[in-house]
Amino acid sequence: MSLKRLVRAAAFFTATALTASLGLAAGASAAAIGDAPATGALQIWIGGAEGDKLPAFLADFEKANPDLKVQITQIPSEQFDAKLLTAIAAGTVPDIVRLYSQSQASLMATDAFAPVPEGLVKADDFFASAYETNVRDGVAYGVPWDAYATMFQYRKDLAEKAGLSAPKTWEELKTFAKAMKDQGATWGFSADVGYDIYNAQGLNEFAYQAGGGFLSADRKQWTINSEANIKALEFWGSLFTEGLASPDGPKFLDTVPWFTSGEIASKDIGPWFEGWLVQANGQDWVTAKLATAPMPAGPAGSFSALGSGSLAVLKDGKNPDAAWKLVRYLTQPDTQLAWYKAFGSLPAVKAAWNDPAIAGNPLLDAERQALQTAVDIPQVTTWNQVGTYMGQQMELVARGQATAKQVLDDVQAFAESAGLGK
Amino acid sequence: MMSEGTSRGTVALYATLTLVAGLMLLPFAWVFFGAFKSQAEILAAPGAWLPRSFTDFSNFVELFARRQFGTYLGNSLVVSGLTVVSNVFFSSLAGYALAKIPFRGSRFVFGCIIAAMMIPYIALFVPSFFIIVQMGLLNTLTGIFLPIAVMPIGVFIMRQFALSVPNELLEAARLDGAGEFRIFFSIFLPLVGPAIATVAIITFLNSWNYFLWPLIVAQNQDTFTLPVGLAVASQGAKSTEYGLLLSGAIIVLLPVLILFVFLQRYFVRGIAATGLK
Repeated sequence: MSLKRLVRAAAFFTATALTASLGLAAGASAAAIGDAPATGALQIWIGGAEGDKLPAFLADFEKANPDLKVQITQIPSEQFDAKLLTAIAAGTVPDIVRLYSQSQASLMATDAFAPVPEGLVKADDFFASAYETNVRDGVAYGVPWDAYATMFQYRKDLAEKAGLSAPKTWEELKTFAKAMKDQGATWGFSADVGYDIYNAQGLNEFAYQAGGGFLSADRKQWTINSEANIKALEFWGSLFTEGLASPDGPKFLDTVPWFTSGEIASKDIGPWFEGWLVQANGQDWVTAKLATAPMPAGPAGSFSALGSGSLAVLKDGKNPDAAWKLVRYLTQPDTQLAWYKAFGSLPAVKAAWNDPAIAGNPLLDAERQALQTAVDIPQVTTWNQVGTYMGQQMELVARGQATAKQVLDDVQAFAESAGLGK
Repeated sequence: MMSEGTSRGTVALYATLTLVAGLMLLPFAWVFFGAFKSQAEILAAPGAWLPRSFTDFSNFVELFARRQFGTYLGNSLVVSGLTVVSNVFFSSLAGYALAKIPFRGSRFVFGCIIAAMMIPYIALFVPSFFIIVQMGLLNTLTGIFLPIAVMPIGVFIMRQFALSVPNELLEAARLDGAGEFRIFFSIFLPLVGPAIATVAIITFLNSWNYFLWPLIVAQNQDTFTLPVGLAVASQGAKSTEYGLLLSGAIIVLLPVLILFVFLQRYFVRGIAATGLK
């Protein structure tokens, strides 16, 4: 690592750590939460499958708080925001909700959430970018519950045949992908080709790898067509135009069969991929054929895309005291670990990663590294429009119909007219 | 020569139609077969069309035993049942009055009802929600069905049908001394059976597939309806539970399919009469 890179990485860490700790200090306005058992009724809304497993998981907490009645409602995740926004408008909110980093900006803009009380959690205990997701103007409005980062995942068996290890740089990624094609893979690498907002999230990690990013450091301006971002999109596009990745697939569900059959030999994807492959092909297949590594580094280093779920307490909820007590309980290292074992959600608390249950899985070594530097999408309310548009336009580059600069100039203009929202 | 050409043409026509119909049915077949597959079978590469076993009901068992599908099914039946009964009753009353009882402003009232059909339902969403909250009906089945208790389309259909009922019949009854309600129940209703069936079918389909509103009004799983419950049950820890999703879709589809088989005649007539489905 060159000195320049080292300085940049250090600056990045200091900056995130600083804002994170500032966030905690500024949240100090809310009263501290005591240690007495929680009482009353507690309503939790959760989008996703967690709501199915959580009731049984909370048995210990309910035993320790016998006068508390927890009610969990499972919500279809795609309509979660619509339901919560209507409830916020009508003042009929639950006490706790789980937010996703990808979509929480517009929910947070409603000012419906309570700041995290003083001393409830320590910002340093969490992966920095996961914590930062919840900070607005220096105040934290949520506590990370789980955290994910994309990794470079590849067919170990094919790589071994080619005598290669995981690529560490952009250049090595291309060499690797070519070698995989020589080993019989139709495509050496696979990048997202849904041409939607997740595509833009994928470009965000390449942008950071190139030393760029979509927002200025003060988060006040779009910097989508910066030199570094153009370089990132050019590199991303060249993977397609040089025939190393297909601009047509795999899409979503196809990823598992394409990877299994060797149609693709590598992909940037989150840690859930292991679980999908185990479900489809069994543990033996996965042990023999899947390996993970941090994302290949660009000129500025290796960065992954972050996905994080946080617990947030509603300002108009009826039982904030009990709500915060549950949030505190769920973000203890022991609880985080138990939840990982019960459900498979990766802990947002760093200490939980030392347990053999996680540390003993070699596929997660790269994940742990990736989480240290994972980068969030721009936490602004207009990201939904801007990211969706960016994802659509990226197809032009993948198909060689426009240059990276043309596309990013266009997206920058679009973003400027959309603004940064609230 | 002529007849041979025609029959050959007919054969070709039917062969093409059968082929196209078969193609149209393929996705449904995939859903049906998928309902009997495990997640691994669905995700396997290359996928197989037929499940390993047609007697493996574990997806269905999981839905009913662990995922409260019994509750959701019950709620859906109650909501749809109430919707159908209330729409048929109020629409035919309104349709009868608008078509057969001359009163001042009758055309204006009918115009308002037609205008209401033009308002997209999403525009009424938040106001409706506020009203339901104020009425204390949040998280109740009544709160779910109330906004669609009388649909303008039902009034429209009943009124158009009522126009075709001969005035002479009603006048004869009036001369015999029957009151307005007696005429309505004994003379009018028996004559508009097809219209009632049409309204019942349209409102049933609407309420049965109703998704966003029940999701917003229901505050916990005990008041979820089938479509909402299906969306929740198919969320897996790592990815969508496709087996549960597909078997759940079969459960949602089944009542509609049964209804269709028995009321096919009215279905087609209803859709043709209104240009809507």
